[in-house]
Amino acid sequence: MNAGASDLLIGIKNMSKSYQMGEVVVHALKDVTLTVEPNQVTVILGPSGCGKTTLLNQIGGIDSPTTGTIVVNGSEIQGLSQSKLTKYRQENIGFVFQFFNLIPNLTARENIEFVLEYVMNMSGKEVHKKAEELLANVGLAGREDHYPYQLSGGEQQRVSIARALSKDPRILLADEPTGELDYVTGKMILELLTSFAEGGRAVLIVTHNKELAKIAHKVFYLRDGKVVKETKNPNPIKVSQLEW
Amino acid sequence: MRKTFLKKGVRELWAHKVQYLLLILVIGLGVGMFASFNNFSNVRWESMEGSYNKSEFMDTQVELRYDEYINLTTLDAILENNTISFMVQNYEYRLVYEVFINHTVDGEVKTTKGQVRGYEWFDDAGNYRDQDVNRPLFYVDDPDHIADPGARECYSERKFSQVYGLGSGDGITLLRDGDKMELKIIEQVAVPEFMYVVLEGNLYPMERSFGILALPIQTAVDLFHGSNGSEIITNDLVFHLKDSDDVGEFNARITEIFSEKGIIVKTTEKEENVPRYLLYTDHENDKATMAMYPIVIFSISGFGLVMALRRMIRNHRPQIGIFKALGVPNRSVLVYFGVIGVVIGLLGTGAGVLFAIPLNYSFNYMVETLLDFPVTDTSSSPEFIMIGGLISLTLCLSCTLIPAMVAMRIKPIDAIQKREGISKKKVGRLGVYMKGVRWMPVSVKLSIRNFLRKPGRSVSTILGVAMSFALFLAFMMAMDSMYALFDREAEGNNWDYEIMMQGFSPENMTADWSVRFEEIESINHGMVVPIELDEGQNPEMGLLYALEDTQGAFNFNMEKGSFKQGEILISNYQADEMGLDVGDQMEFVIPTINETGGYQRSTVELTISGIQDNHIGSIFYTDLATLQGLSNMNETINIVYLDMSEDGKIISVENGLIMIPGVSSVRHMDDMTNMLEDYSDIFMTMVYIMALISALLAAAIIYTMFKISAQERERDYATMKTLGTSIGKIAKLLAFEATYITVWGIGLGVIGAYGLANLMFANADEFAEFNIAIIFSWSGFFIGSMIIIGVVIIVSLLTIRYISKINIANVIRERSTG
Ligand SMILES: Nc1ncnc2c1ncn2[C@@H]1O[C@H](COP(=O)(O)OP(=O)(O)O)[C@@H](O)[C@H]1O
Ligand SMILES: [Mg+2]
Repeated sequence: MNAGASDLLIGIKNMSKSYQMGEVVVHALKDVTLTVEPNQVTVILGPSGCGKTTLLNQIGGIDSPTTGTIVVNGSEIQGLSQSKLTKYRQENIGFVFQFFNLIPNLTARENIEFVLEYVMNMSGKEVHKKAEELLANVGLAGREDHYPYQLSGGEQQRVSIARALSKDPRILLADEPTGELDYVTGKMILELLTSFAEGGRAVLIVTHNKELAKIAHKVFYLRDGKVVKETKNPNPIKVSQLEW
Repeated sequence: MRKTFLKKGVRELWAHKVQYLLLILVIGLGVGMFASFNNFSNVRWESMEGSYNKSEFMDTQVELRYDEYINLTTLDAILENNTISFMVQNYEYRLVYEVFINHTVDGEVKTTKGQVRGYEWFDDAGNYRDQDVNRPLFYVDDPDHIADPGARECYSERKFSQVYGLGSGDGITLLRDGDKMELKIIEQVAVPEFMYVVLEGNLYPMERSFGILALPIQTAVDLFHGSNGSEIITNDLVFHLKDSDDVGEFNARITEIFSEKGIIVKTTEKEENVPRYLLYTDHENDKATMAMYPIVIFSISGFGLVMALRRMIRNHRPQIGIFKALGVPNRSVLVYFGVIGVVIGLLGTGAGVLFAIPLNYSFNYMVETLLDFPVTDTSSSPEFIMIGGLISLTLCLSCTLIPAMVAMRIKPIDAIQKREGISKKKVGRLGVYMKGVRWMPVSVKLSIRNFLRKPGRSVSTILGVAMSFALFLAFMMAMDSMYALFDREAEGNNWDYEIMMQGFSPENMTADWSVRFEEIESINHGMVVPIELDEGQNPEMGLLYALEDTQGAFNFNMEKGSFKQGEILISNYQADEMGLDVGDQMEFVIPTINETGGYQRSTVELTISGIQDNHIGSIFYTDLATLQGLSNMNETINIVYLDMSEDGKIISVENGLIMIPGVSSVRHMDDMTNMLEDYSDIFMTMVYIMALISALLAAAIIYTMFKISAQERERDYATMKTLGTSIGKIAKLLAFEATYITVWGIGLGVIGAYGLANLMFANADEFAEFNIAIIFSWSGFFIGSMIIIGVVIIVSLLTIRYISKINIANVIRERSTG
């Protein structure tokens, strides 16, 4: 907790995103303004279709907003070129997808090694050791050589988290990380995610599950693409105390 | 509801237009080729039939023996015989004899052996008339007529005229027994008996040494007698019978009637006419060989189509499940896929028509220039497009509907619950063995895993590449094999001139040749006789060459053994056919002379001394003394090979040799190779067109297969990109995969090309008989590889461009409803 609360990791200002669907324009995000601070868990809460994934995609730099600005680490990312965005993701962003998106033809270990080799440009022995370490951290020691299909949903999600963490990103983005999982597994995953929010890093979780608001330092309520409410919670409860 | 599905189908087509366009191209090539090949066969047939029909081709021909003639009074008496007169519909009498023709080629006078054919071109009233039977045919619509019954004018045979550049208005000189006659050529003509000029006893047409001239019978008689206004005589009759079934009976009776008058005649039925027989069998053979090509093309296009459409439907599986869950009737879902099938089939047929147009055009051009029948019927037959279209529609519909029906058997719940990003699919069994491997880079592992997990996908891509490559390479191999044959033929023959005698002649007839022609370096006497290999129902025919110095005239590529005096050398083709080996005895029938000096056929035996593999399969070799001994024809020859002191043709020597009594033909080595090349023109042109088309087909199929392959990995690439993998790195992965598919594809393609070439060509009788070994075509290999690598690079670049532009957000998004 050495970084001051005034430090801003993500600052989004008047951001809108609309999609042209033939004749119709879908306004997925309307004039969104929000901030994410380091060492905090931030939750975006809202019903299905309110624009949560869209918002996450803008922050992750895999989509760009129609208007508004996104400042991450002091620099604007909207309108960056594709290669700059790739570099931005490589250096800053860890993604945890709702549907895991593991590469099916690679084992758990290899899914992580892939990122280490291909994104982090590491090589040799280091890669094997690091991958093993990361998997051990998410409680998958001994399952390194399993293919995704040989793992349960929760285990796949943990590989996905280990993969996201392997880059040691500043920002971890999780889209409905528990959406596909049962209660117990879900809690385990949340535990992993929230523990990451330290050392200047931030975790941003997107969910429709109201209970998750309790574990966040800050909650943005999203409805119809608009931020309708923002609450702060200096002392969020521990994941273990969570019930839903 | 049905209408929505129709719209959806059309939208799917539009969304993947490039890919479907290529499929349409592939189908179009199949249809176009099918249609134009069949059309070619048809045009060839119609032109041939048309020519023979227009000529009122005979039912039978009656020829008198050499140097025997009858006058018209005798002829009338014979034809009025009531045992045959009632059978005859029409007839023509002609006077046919041999002459020498002097004509000018490039300022040099060339003497050619020729044939004068005198026709009765005027009726009793002196009016011009067309022949009723075996009417000479013209290549121009309104040919000039012969001016009068004794005009010094003639029509000259087309091929002969073309070889020596003779045309209307040109003058030629006929020489016969010291008499001379100047003639003016009016027009080029086809003589029905020689629609394709073949000299008796020769394997090939030989227009170069055979000039046929059609002129008025009175003119022919004038030259024959060396004086004007002589009595008309004839030695050659052609008949149309009222009932062509009577031809056997008619021939027997007319032979009888002639022989009662002490005249021996030879009859030839329509079917026995050699040029006609060659033309028809050639057509049949080519038709059978050519039927293979569209089948192969259709199979390969079909393969590409099945692969592409099956994958398209597999991608639609979740949708199908959802439709089913919603209670959409199967029929409506099938309409959706049916629309795709029908549209591709119809557009493919349309593309086929577009392809067929230039193909038909080139085929017709080929018919016109190479076959050059006097009647050329190049009208195209739409039914082949229709049949091709039906085949393509059936193919497209079954490729869409069958997998769609299979897909519809899935439980809706499975389809809906299938989340794209969640891995449920098993890695192939082999994948297990690779798990612990650590030393391999992930990229290599990923490619190998991709292969092992869904071998079907990579294998089908590899197969697609391999088949297209094989097709192209096979045609290139066929082409190279033919060229190799020409080279080999040139190498296998060591002589400069081949002189054929009119019959068996005394050896000493060449005694003064080297004195008369100083260019002659050596004279190699020989005998060539037809032999029968088996006395069974269908004796196989062959030719036995026996020279003083057999190895001096021919180079043999020995597979086994060697050439030995007193023994026989056979081909590898015949060794196979007869199941004989070196050291075995070979029995065969040759013409021999008996005690009374008459010809007969006897069975003789020789030991096989060796097996050669570079000369035509049905030709056998021994030495002259051996054959003279076997046939009782001592000091007799009928062929001579000459070595000359200079290369190339020497016209003065040719003119002198052809004029020597008893000499039938003079052929230079260059004539032989040229003739071989002409002979294979149609085949080579076909192969050339096929190679071009298969290159196009290969490009289209490989593009499609790679495109599909890249699309299937789209989600993985998008995930990688989201994780921050740079495009360069993804390109590396892609390049690795493309490389190994290409390498495998080319490797398997080479094997496939051998298989295809053997299937398409080696099994063709001609290939075996002519001893054409299928050889590997390096040029085909390099060109084909370049095409494949080029296409792969283009697709890879497009894929990389696509991935770099891809909206990853969309790919990564939950895709529950597509
Ligand atoms: N690529 C797109 N094209 C059109 N509409 C989109 C696209 N992505 C999202 N939307 C629309 O934007 C809205 C928000 O979507 P999303 O962010 O996925 O919602 P959530 O994640 O909150 O369920 C929805 O109405 C969705 O249909
Ligand atoms: Mg969402």
